[in-house]
Amino acid sequence: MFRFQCLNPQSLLNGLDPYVKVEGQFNKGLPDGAWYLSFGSLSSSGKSSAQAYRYFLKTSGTQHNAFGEMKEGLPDGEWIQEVVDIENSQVIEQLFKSSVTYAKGVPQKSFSIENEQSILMGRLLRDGTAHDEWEVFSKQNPSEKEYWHFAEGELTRIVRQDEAGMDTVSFAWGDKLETMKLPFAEQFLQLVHVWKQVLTPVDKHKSLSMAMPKAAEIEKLMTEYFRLRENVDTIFQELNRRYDPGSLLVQAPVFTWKRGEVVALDSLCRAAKRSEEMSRSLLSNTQLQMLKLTSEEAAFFYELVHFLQQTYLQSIASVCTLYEQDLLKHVPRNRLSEYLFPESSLGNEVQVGYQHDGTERFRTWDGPALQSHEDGVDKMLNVARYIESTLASVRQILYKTLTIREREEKLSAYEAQLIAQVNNLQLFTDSLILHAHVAKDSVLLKNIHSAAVQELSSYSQQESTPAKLEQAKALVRCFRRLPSLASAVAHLHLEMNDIDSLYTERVWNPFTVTLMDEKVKKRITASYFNHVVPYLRAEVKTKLTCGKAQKLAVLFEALHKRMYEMREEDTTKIERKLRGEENPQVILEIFKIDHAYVGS
Amino acid sequence: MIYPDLAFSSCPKIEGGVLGIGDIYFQCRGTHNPIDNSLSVQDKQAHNRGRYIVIFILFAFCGFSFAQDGEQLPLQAVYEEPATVLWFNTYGNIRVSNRLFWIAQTHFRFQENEKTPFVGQMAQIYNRHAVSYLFSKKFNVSLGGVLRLNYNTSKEASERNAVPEWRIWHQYLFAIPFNRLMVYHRLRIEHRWTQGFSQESDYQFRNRWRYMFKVKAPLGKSRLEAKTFYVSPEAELIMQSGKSVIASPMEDLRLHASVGYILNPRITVAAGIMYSHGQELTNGGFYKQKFTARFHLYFSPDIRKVKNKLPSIHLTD
Repeated sequence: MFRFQCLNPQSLLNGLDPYVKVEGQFNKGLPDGAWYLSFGSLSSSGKSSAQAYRYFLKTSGTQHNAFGEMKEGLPDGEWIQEVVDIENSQVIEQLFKSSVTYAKGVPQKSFSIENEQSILMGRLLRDGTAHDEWEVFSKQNPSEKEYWHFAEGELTRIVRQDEAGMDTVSFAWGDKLETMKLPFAEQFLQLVHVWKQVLTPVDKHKSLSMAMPKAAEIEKLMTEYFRLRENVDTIFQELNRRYDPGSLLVQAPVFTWKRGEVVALDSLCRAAKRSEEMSRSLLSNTQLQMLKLTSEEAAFFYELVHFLQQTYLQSIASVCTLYEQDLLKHVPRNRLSEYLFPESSLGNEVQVGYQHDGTERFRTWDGPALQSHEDGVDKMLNVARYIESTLASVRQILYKTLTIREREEKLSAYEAQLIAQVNNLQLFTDSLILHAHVAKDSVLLKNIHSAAVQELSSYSQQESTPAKLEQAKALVRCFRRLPSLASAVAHLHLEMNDIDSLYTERVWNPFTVTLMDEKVKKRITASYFNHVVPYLRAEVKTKLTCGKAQKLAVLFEALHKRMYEMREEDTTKIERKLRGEENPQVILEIFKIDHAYVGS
Repeated sequence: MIYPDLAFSSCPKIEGGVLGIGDIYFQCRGTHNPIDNSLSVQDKQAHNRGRYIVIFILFAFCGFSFAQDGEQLPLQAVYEEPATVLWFNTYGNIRVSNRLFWIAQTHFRFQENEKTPFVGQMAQIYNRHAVSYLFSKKFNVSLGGVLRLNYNTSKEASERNAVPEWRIWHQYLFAIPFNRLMVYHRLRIEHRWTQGFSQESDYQFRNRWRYMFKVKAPLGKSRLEAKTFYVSPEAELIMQSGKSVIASPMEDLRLHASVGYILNPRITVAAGIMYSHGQELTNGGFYKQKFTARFHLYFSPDIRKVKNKLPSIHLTD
């Protein structure tokens, strides 16, 4: 006897307890005999009692029970699966029940599956293959019936009958088609759903729905049956690794791949993926969403992308889904392509509606055209490629517009920044000029501001091109450095005084008995004061450009830093080289100042 | 009969005169080294003969006052004709360490001769050295020696043209800074050994007591600094003492004014004119006078290694 139970009273008391209970027997290591499985989701209803030293707690919830016979590890005989609704430990309603007879694990003979609304009764051959007429009828409305006709597993027709009349969908694919056994599972139901669609004549484009309609009761019943069965199969698979029960089987037609069809499908799916990515990126682009509010063209293209996605891409994506699920081979591609893209829908102008300025407007778009002798996957591929190229063009146009708009917005922002920088530079230089030590260099400071104004003026005269944005950026960077140049110029006089003091020693004169100032390293200071500083001043005063300004600011700093360094160094060689040298550039090299400035 | 002092024996030219009633005076005309008694015995005798006769006659009729040891002081001070002299002096003050200096001075002194004023002949060559210690910015002390070569500047030939003179000297310099100028008080004491130009001349020892008051004031600037002219008046009184110093304690009173230019803290040049007068050693009643043109070069190198130099004169570090 085997018993397994997973029950947590504490969880039950606290709320919900999903429990499992398995009881059965083994024979030679395999489940054998009567087995009972119970899966529940119960909660305490709050009512309890005590009896015979036991505490009884009332529960409510749903419980799935499965019971039947096992033989040599496989279901054998009738297996009942039921789902009951429990309240206060009483079954108040049976939500689902299935009765399937197995022989060595293979479902066969008649079976029934029912839920609250409907009952499915069907028949299976010995190998589990669907056969004969499966009937689904409504419990509430007995006049509503649906018949699935199987001929040795092959679904031949579905007849739906209700008060309005009778509706028949025949699945006549041709006698010479190969068939293939498939489990009667979700995928088959999905396939049936696709078949029903493609067999419906259409004169305009239709989307392929992959989701099964809720109205199909047989799908509901079978889906529920599969779900419950999976619970049972999972348990038995854990108990017996070789557990492999049979399934309900059907025969599905196999529409043989034509030459090149698989390659075309690969191309189709790749194109579909790229198109999907493009459309998604466009539709999720917030800037584009904002742009369409102001730009009519952007609004139209945005809606066009939306239209393409809804109308074409979703259909093509569903084809690819079928292909990836290995179901497409059971679908006649020609019919599928005709359903998705009927001839009458191709080669037409498509009206695309969009909103602009509060009104609804329309523009036409040239839809995909049918190429001669195209059908099936080739036609779908053609459409996919057309849609892809359309999306690529739209993307290019929209991004260009977006880029221009973005560039203009950026340009506008940069220009505002430039103007602010120039104004701030003027305020800064004016404030520097007020200081007494700057008086001599006030002309230089004014020249820095003038150079900035000149640069801005040259920039403003340019046409609006992508290059202008780059130039604006460069000008912003340049103007950012001008204050440092102005500061260096303003502090030049102070630096010179500091360097003069730095290179002055206090020397004891024993004859006057006083301390006197003595200049040291005179060649260095003479080169600095008489050649380099005047040269730098002249460079700031004349021909000052953005490129020079940055380098000049760096040079000022590097020069003074080097002068401080040379005070402490052994500069014998430097002073020897400076003898008679008057060229400022050469002097800077002798000073070993690493700079990038090349003067005029 | 009292015979005249041999001090007159070396005088190349003796002049005589009458001062008042019964006062006869004798003076020596021309450059006269009062301590130079290196004339030959024959010369001395020749001089003496003539003089003895005159003196004898005069003694017969007149009265004289005599100083001790036979010096004959005039009744009033007699100022000799001023001589012209030229000095080229180099003053070195070499810094050896933070407080130690090496004083190295070389002076070339010329004097007039009959044909040429100022630079007619070489008179002395000075070589003065000392070690100086800087106590503070306002006080330093020096100790050293001097070797002076004295040349015979008289018309009369001598056995030796030049003789050495040796000195030991020490000096105490006080410097007082004012707002714009500097004032110096210099006390210098010299111990000198001198000799005459004759071969057998012995060294005579004397002490010199010197006090100098000096001012240095910048011209055109507010302080003494590089590239600055300055004016420097000074007055020095040199007193002497020793066995040979009888009635002439005041060796020299020097009044000197110079103008200098400080090229940089280490080199200064100056030029000036000095008037000096002092008592003759042989007769304190007679005062020699001189006008000296002086040209100076001051240099003060610093031979310390750079790393040992203090950034300023931080004597208390």
